[in-house]
Amino acid sequence: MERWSTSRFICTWLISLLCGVSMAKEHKEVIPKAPFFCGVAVQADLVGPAMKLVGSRFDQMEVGGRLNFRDHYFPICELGIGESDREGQETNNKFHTRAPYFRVGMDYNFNKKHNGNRLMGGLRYGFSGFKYDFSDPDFADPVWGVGNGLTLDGQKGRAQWLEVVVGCEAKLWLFIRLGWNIRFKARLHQSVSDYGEPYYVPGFGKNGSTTFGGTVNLIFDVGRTTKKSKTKLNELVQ
Amino acid sequence: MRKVAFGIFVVGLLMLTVVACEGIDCTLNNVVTLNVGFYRSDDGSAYTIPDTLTITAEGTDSVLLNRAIRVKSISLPMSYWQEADTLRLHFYNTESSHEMTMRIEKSNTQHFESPDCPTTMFHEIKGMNHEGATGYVDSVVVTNKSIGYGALEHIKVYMHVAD
Repeated sequence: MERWSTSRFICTWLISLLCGVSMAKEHKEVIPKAPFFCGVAVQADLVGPAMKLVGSRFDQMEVGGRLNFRDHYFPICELGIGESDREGQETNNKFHTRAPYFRVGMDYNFNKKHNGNRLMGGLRYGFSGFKYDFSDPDFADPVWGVGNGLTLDGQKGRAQWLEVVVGCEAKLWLFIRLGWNIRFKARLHQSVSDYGEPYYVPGFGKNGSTTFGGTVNLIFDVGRTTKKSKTKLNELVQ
Repeated sequence: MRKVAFGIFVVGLLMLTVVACEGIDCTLNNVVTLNVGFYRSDDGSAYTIPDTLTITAEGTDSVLLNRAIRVKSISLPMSYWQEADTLRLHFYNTESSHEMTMRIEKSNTQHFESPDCPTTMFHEIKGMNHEGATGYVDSVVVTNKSIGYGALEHIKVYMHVAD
């Protein structure tokens, strides 16, 4: 008798579990699929001008453009001009560079709902070719006593790096969005002058094997290909 | 939605402010010197010179090493701009005196790290010859041609050691 009731209990429990799973499947929210091509967006970084305004050690002016597929996949291209004009805090050494940089990559939106908010993760490949100047007016031989300073202008450098990006963005108004991201950057390759490495690499940041960076972007959805996709995406967002 | 956007903007700026912080990180051992070690010529082991050693160089009034006693190794500055340095090593005690001249041909390369760090000069030894003190010094060998940061030994001086 006792054995019978135990097996009946197990059977009842299994059936209820299966029913529960199937019911959960039935009640699972069906998220509508976004159109294949959802549009184009352009963006501008707000951090660069802010850094320039406060007289930071280096700054970068950056714009970008990206495509939107399924509201999940965002192939992106970023280009900017990086600049550093720096004098040592405890020396009279000076470093200067100003050069363009480029990044290409893709973001993925982890938010399954098409509610206008996006949680992004992505990768970038960045590269820059640049020239840099370095000077030390006090450079002199301490023992032999000879020296009239050091000026090394136009040193050539090239750098390639990889960035891991995480960030989020929200719809601000109609076609305007605001978002930020932080980036872990790892150097892939660098060729520099024999005299020394640059203090700053345009687009990468303070030179090193790895560094962190980030942007705060003002994003404009400038176009969607068809009326159909535009309407559909707007319906999903609403 | 605008509150969310404003929150995103403020949080982003704060995070980037933290990310933008940096300190001065210069190489700690940022002295460039020619490192010379003394060894016994018979078995090649390290040798402590029992005599007094004074080293001067051509082109400067500075004494590079003054009356050092019981030295095993020495670190000497190199000229920034000369293509060759001529060093005079004077070994002496109460009974005898030996003088060796060592001429080191080299190239000079300025080296900088950061605006915050001192600029230095790196060298590459192109050639070396020595003369004098033949009964006292057996041979001189260049073991490392690149002179930069670090305590690598660049020259080995093998000494005749009386039993």
